[in-house]
Amino acid sequence: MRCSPIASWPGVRHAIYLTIIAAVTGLAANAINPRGIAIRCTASQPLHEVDLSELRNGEKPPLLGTVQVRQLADRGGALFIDARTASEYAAGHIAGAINIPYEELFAHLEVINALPREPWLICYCDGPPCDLSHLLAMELVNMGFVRVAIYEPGLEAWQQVAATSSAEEAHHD
Amino acid sequence: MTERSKNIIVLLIRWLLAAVFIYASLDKIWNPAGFAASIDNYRMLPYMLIALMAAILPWLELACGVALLLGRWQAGAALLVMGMNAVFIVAIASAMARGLDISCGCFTTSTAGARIGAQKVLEDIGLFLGALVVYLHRMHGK
Repeated sequence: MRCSPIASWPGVRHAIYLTIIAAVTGLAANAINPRGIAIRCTASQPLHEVDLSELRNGEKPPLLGTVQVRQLADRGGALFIDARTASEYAAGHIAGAINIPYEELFAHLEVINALPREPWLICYCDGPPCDLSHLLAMELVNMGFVRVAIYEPGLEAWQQVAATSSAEEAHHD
Repeated sequence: MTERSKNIIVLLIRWLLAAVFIYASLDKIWNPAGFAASIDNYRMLPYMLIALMAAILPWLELACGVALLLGRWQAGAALLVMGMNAVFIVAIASAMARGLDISCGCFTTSTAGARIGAQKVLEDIGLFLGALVVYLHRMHGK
């Protein structure tokens, strides 16, 4: 029995044409769109609007991915809060992050009271299955902070992105 | 069922698919960065694939919608709609299995959009079956 090549199936040729048209148009439109996204992740990635709403007491903070967090951080709209223990924080953390260990929350009330209200407070820990970032974020919302979010992929994912960016910059230098 | 009524039903399904896909593409075409953030919420792809998908997928939805509306390259458009919906179903089911509570990113890039859930999976299965009907009808030379 002969197998017919996929390209000879009805519609496959036109599907390929449609895909090529969409790819060319999409990449060209993205390049000129002010809300377009950088195809390669670099430190000079353009800034974009991030659709976040302020939270009310008891509301669940939004879960952000690396792209959203980078967008916020790039434009100075994010303050990272490391929810892990002080020793884990000392061993490595996101640049610029402050440490509020969830398990010692009430020993850090002064720090919490001094937190700025303008930037988004991005809580993180190691990444799944760590849930300290979730617990800390909920406490902050209950304390009246309205710009709180969770960077769930956590430190490990952030370090991978940072390593990629550094490697690219070194390559360009 | 007469041949004429079958043709009318398939035409209505085709136009419905066209309307859904053209509508779904518009906000994403307007805001690729917002759509990238929606895709990133699923935590399934590396950055570059997210960016490429955010730039291209909305235009593919639009191209398929226009093709289905105009009745040109129908089988190809129906195949792509089936493929896209299969990917959407897997992505939503996978996110649900991992316990993610995220906005779907189906029709809007806003985080206030509809959340993922069983209803979204059923909607996508419905769209997949609709495209399958259009494809099979076209294959049989109608």
